[in-house]
Amino acid sequence: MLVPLLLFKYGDFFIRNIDQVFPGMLSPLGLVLPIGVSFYTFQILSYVIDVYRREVEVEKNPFYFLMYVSFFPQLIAGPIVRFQTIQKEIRNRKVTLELFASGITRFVTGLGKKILIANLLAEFGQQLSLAGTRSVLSLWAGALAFTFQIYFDFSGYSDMAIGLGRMFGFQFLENFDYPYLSQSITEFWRRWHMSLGSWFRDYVYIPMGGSRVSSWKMIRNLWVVWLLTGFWHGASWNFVVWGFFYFILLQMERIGLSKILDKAGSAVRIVYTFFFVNLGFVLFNADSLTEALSNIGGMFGGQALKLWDPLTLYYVKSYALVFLLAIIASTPYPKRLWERIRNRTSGFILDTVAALGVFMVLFLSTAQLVDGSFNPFLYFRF
Amino acid sequence: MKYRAYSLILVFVLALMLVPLVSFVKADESISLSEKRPLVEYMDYESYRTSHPGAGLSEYFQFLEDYFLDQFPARDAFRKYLVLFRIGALAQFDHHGYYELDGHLGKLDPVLNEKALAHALSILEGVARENLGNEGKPLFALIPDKNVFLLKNSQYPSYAYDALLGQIDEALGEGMDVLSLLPHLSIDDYYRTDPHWDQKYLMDVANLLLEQFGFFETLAIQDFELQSFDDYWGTYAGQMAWPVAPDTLNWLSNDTIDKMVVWDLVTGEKSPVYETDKLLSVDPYDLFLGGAKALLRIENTEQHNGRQLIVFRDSFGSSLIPLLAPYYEEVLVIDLRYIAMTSVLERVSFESDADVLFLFSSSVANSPGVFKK
Repeated sequence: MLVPLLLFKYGDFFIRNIDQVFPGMLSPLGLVLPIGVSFYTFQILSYVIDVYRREVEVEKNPFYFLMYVSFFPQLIAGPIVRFQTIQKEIRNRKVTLELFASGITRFVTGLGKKILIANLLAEFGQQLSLAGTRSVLSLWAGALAFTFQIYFDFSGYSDMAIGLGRMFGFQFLENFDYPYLSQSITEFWRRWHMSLGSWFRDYVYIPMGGSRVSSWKMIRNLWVVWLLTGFWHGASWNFVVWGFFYFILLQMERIGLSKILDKAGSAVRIVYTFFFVNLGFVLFNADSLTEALSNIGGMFGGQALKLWDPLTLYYVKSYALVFLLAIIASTPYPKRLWERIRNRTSGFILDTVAALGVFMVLFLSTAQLVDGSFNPFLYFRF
Repeated sequence: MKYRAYSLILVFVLALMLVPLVSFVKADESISLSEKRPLVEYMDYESYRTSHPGAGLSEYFQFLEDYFLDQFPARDAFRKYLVLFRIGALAQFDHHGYYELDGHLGKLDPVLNEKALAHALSILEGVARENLGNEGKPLFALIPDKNVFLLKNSQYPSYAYDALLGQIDEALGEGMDVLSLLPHLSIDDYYRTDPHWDQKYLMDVANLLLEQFGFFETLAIQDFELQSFDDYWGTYAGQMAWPVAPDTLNWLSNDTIDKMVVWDLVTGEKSPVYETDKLLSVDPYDLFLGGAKALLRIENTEQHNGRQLIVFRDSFGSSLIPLLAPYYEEVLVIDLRYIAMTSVLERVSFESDADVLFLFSSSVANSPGVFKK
C-alpha cells in the first residue's frame, strides 16, 4: 500500500542519497508525483488498520469505498478524513438548504483565505526574492510572510474542503484551531493540521506503546513520529531536520520548559511558540538545509548583514495591511465579534450583510485569479 | 436564516452557471486592447500538439488554464475592481509594479542591474568600434525614464539615475560623447498613461541633438502642423487597469515629413513616417514609424546634402527621429532588440562620415538581455 508513495515521492530522494555514497550506481527516476498521493495513501491506510482493529466495518460496496478514497473536495490537500467519520454519511446523508448555504460560506471563506491572503503574502515573498536584497529585515519579513502564507494556504484549503463536504451533506472534522495562538509547541501541534497529528498518534505513536512505556522507549516513539512527520511533508533533508526540530522542542517542554513557561504570562507563551514555529517554517521553506541555516543565521545578524534595506522596507509598508489582515484573521476574534453582533441583532439586514460579505470575497477572489496566474498551492507537493 | 440561505445559494449558483454559460456563448477575443497583448485562444489537444511539438497533456492543461483566464468574461472589469481593492482598500503602493503618482502612471524599476547594463554597453561599444567610421564620435543620448522625475523624494524605491549614467559614461565615454537628456526634459513632456514622451514637447531635445551634429537652425513648433488623437490610453493604463482619463496623442507633421518614405528593410515594405491607420490598432503609439521595427531606412527626397544619420534606438526614438530626419538625405533606424548587427550589415551600408546616434531610455538600458549581438 505504501509502495506508490515510497516510489513516487521518495524514490529519487533515496536514489540521490545512495548516489552520494556510491556515485553512478543509480539514476534518478524523475517520476511525476501523483496529486494528493500522501493524503489518499494515509486515508487508505487508516481504513485498512481500522478494519483490522474492527473499529469500522468492511465496506462491501466498492463504489462507496472508491468514493471515500477519491472524494474530490479533500483529495488534493486534505484534511485526512477517516472512514469512520463519513461512513454513515456515504450511505445516508441529508442535504438541507441551511447546510448547503453554510457550506458555501465556509467554501468562500477558505477561498478568500487562500486567494486574498496566502497568495498576496506569497507575492510579497516573491517580490523580496526578485529584489535580490538581503538584510535582517528582509529575512524576518520573508519568514513571517511564509509563516502566515502556509497557514492561510492550508487552512483555506481545508475550509474549502469542509465547505464543499457540507454542500454534499458530509461533515468533515476541523483541521485547524487558530494554531498561532498556541501557548506551547505541544499545544501548537494539537491545533495545526489536526488530522495528520491525530493520524500519527493513532496509527504510529500509540501502537508503538505511546507514553505507557519506559522513558527511552517513549523518546524513541516520539522520534519515529517526528521523523515521519517531517518526511511526510517532503522528500528532502530539511523536512527531516524540521521534524527533528519539533522533536527537540517537545522534549524540552516535556522535561521542564513547560513548567518555566507556565510561570510566564500567556502573551509570553504565545510569542515563544510563534517564534519557534516561525523558525521552523524557515527550515520548511528553504530549498536546502544550507539555505535554511544561512537564512536563520542572517535573521540573527550573522553574515554581517545590514539591519534593513530600503526596498524591503518599501514592500513591508506596501503589504502592511495584508499582514495586519493576516494577523487578525488568524485569531478567533473576528468570528467572535460576528457572533456577538448576530446575537444582538437579527433579521434581514444582518443576513443581507452576511450574503454581501460572501459575495464580495467571491468576487475579489475571482478578480485576483483572473488578474494573474500567480497561484502557488503549497500543499500540492504533499 | 432562510432568506440568507436562499440568497447565498442563489448568488453562488448564478455565479457558477453564468461564467461557463457566458464563456460558451461569447466568441474568443484575439487581443486584449487594454493590455495590448494577444490573448490565448482555444485549440483542441491535437491542434495544440501539432503547434507545440513535444508538448504533452500537462502542458495542454496549463494552456487551457491560461486560455480560461484570458477569455474570462468581463476580465477587464475584474482587473479594474481588483486594483481598486488592492490600492484603495489594502493601501498597497503599486500593483504588479505599476503605480499612480501625481496623475501619472509609472512602473517601478527599483534595482540598477549593473551586470546586465555592463553586458548591454559592451554590445553597443562593440557595434560602434567594429562597424562605424572613424570620422567623428558617435553620440550616446540617455533618455530618463518617468521614474526619474516622479519618484524623486517619494516613498517609492528607485535606483540612482546618476549611477546609471556614470556607468554608461565609464563604459562608452572613450569612444562616444555621452549625453544625458535629463536637464532638457520634465515630467510634463511624457504621457500620463504611457512610458513614452510626447513629440509635441521634444523641440529642445531635437535642437540639442541637431546642434551636436552641426545643425544650428533652431526647430520651432510653428514649423509643424500639430495633429492629435484623443482617447489615447497608453500602455501603463491597460497594464495597471487603474481608472484614468485618457491622454491625447500628438504628432507633428509638415510637407517634408509627409513626403518622406520609410522602407522596412526586413520585409521590404514601404510606408509613411506617420502610419495613421495604426491609431486604431492595439497601440496607437505605433503611429510613429510603424512601431516596433528592426531596421528602417527613411528616404528624404527633399534633402540633397548627402548626409546620413544612423540611429540605434528603442521605442522612444520612433517619435523623435521624424524631427531629425528632415536634416538628412537618409536615416537608418536600427533596433538591436529585434535584429543582430550581422543581419543589419547584410542589408545596409554605413557612410564613413555618417552621424551616429545611440538613443536609449534608461529603462531599456537597465533591462537584462535586451540587445542582440
